Amino acid sequence: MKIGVLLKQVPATDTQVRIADPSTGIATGDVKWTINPYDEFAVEEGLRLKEAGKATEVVLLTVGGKDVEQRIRDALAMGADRALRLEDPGFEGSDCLGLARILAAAIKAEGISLVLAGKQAIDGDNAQVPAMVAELLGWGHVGSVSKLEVDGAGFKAWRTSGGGSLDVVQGGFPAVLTADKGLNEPRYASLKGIMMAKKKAIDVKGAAALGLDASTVGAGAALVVDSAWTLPPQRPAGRILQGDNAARVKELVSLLRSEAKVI
Amino acid sequence: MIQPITDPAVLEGYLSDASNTRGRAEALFRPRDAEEVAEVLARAQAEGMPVTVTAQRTSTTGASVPEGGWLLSTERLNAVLAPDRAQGGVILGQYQDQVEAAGLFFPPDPTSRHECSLGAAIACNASGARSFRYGPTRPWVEELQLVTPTGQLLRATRSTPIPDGWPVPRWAEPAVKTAAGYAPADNLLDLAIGQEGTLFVITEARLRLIPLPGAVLSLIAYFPDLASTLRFVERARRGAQRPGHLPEPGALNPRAIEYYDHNALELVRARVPDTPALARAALFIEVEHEGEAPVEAWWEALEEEGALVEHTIVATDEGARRKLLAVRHAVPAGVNERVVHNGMPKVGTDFAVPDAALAEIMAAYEAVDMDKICFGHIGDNHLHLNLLPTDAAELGRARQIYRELALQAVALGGTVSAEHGIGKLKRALLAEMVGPEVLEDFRALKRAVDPGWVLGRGTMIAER
Repeated sequence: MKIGVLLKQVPATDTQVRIADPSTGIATGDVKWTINPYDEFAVEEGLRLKEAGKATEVVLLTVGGKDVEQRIRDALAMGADRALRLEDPGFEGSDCLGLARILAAAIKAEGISLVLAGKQAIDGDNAQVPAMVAELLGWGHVGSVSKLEVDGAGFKAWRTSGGGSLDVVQGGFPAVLTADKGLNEPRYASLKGIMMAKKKAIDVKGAAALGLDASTVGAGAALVVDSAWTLPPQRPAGRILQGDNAARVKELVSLLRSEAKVI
Repeated sequence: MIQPITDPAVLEGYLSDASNTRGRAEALFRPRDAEEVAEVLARAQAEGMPVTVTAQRTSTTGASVPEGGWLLSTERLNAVLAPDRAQGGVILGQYQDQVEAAGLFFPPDPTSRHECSLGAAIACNASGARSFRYGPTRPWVEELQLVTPTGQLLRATRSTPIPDGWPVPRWAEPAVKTAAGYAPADNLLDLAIGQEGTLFVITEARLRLIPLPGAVLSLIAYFPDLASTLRFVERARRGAQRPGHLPEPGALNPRAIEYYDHNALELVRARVPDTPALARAALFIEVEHEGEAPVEAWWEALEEEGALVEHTIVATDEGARRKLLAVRHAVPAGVNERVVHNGMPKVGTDFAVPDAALAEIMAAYEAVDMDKICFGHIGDNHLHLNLLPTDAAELGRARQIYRELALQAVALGGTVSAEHGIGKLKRALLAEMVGPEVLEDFRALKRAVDPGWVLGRGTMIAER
């Protein structure tokens, strides 16, 4: 069984996000990038399945330019076998559905039968692409998996659902499963892994190589368009009340009632 | 006129520090500017009232624990005035975050940097893992605003002469990383760095910043025994950039080399399940690099010196680096848990020795027959051996062992304190290290700067 892991590069959580231009998005110049943490769980799970003899190969798939190659190398250093980087001028401006079409075409061309991905990327938090990929491929999909068992016949996946209850979903391959926190503890990259990663192949494929109808992806096909970017409004400065304690308490109570409207 | 706080409930929070000792004080002042600091000190000098400077109380030596009198907290002097200028009460780590957001770098990295104040780091010439390359805090300070114990405001740079009548001790500091005793300075700035709040209150600093290093490779390498670990340390620091030394071409050139003994590894194992079973020691290493990470060179060197090279783990980006740092922090956290469990304080060393004496002092640490955990800045031959006594009798024995090891470090040309300072707990050791004549010189300087001996009373040197 061949496993495909969907990988996305996201700004590290401590990055100070700035808007470059309200129409185009965040300023990326000084952003520190990292692998989407949920995708790391997916990579780790794929590697464990391979090490347990339940898969033959772990292939990384990502849509993006040359700037995502360092993240691909990081995941290859963890132990993934090779990577596909999907890039084409026609992919620019794709919405989630466009991205799912690109990935689904690559997954089909690769003969992958299990797709693992993070349950969502921590930048856009859309949580749409993996489910769309499953739908486009006509495969089963289980989201937010926190425990997984795989045998020759199929899989058993545990996922927390609303109200804290636990669903156990059984299914067969091919399938798309997305990883939640708790699925595993991703390994540290090793010095050996980094050296080996340098020798691993990152193939670049565009629309033609994937046999993809270019009119179904990219900005022209996007159903969802980011119309404007703004930062959340700044929190107003706090106020320090003056005077003696009795007066301040009185004023505080009155402000909590009249201004904050919490009492 | 600045008013004192005398509410015992407020004072309570200021009476102890990370040394686990406890003092007493009658009043607390929290000045808002250097003028108010001067006012408090002038009054104290006039009344002969002891004043202890306090900031965040991360000192492990009792330097900020008051022995009566007044407390002067720098907590309200907490403004960053420009990228390279800040008040003394600013939290060091918060200042560094701001500096780094602007693409600049202030290297000193004491373990407590996210808790301690900038002024305190300067006052005790703090250092950390990166001091291997960048040295302690001293070379990164360019100008200070100081308040003297008589309430005088001074500005100090390296071209500010030491005022007439202040007899600066001329003595040979050990040629190692050291934070023990007054610097044999030829300018006011260097005199103010490392004086542990006994000569001045530091109200503002102008700092030397450099461009933020582009990329850092972090790795944790495991070793089957101490011999291979020491061989590798020798190899890693050969030709490396260190204070006063430019890097040699082809050198591995790390910026930090940190050591963990097998007992420390037991604490790490809880967090890193694949810690190799054969490992008897580990090194945490950081390497700044341009372009691709120099992984092949490190692999080759580790393999040649007998490391368990297959198990070496690495971080090449910030997220992964943070995970490795969490592994490191498991060690001091684990030590503290053991202390709580034992119900006995730990006895921790802070000695540094010259490069040539590293193997000898390590052998002495290894030979100590007591529950212990050893880790720290091996690149600077500066290890923290933590003795963990389980009862009062063992505590007594631990203190005796500590003293013997301190004297051995001094005999090897080392220092009794490389980074924590002398504070109130190591006065006797400083006295043994410098000898009675230098100690008398320290006293003469102190008396000249602080006639009433009011500032930091009990810290570094006793009045007589």
